[in-house]
Amino acid sequence: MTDELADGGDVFDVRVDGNDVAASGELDADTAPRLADVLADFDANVRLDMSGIEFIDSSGLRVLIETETRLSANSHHLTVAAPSPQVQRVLELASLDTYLTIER
Amino acid sequence: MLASEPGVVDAPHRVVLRLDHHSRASRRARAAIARFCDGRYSSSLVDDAQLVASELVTNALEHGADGVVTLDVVAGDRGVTIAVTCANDGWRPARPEAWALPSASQRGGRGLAFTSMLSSDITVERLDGVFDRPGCLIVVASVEGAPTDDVPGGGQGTASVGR
Repeated sequence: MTDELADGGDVFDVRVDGNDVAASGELDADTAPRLADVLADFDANVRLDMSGIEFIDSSGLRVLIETETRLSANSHHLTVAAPSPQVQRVLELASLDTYLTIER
Repeated sequence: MLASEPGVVDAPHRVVLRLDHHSRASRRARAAIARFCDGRYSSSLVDDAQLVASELVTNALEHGADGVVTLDVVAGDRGVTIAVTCANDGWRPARPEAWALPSASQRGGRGLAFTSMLSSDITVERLDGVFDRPGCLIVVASVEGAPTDDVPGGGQGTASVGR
């Protein structure tokens, strides 16, 4: 069995440094709950570095939207920083590049 | 080689994967798309095909019955055709014409919209089960694009999936 198809091995990582969060790997239905858990702890402005995200689908977008919706209710915001080309493309496909604050 | 795995069909123009009960089924589907399509098609087509496959597999696992999901990918001269089949107890998805992008603040509903935006010739077929078994739902979507010229035979290339 090839490594790419093996079930083992971590494909997603989240690191927190103050209000800066950095996520890397593949953000899909399997891994999105891990990012959601981390972001749920914040009630302040959050900067999410997505330069290390190699893939995102609608499950990952849902976490970003839910987080922004929750934070904005308290006048805070989620900033998506340095999105990778694939993330940028999916954000544009979803027309979220104006709803979310994106720092390129 | 993929073909050495249970439930895998590995042919020059086609790969079929059983994704039942895999905790990372959508990742597995994307990896199969990448290995099957890299070198045959442009990177942008591969990216789109991976997103479509990921969305369809995720949707099938969420709404299908018994966690039974199969991915079937066929390479052709006009692009890649992706078919995802899941066991079905009566769930009826919206017609593909209604797979529209929701408003920005809406939490969900983007997976099928992405599929609609990135593919063509989408069909949804629902087959009834027999006896006390659930039926199945088959969603087929084609991601269009010409094969790359640097592969001998283009879309009829003979590169092995498990190379």
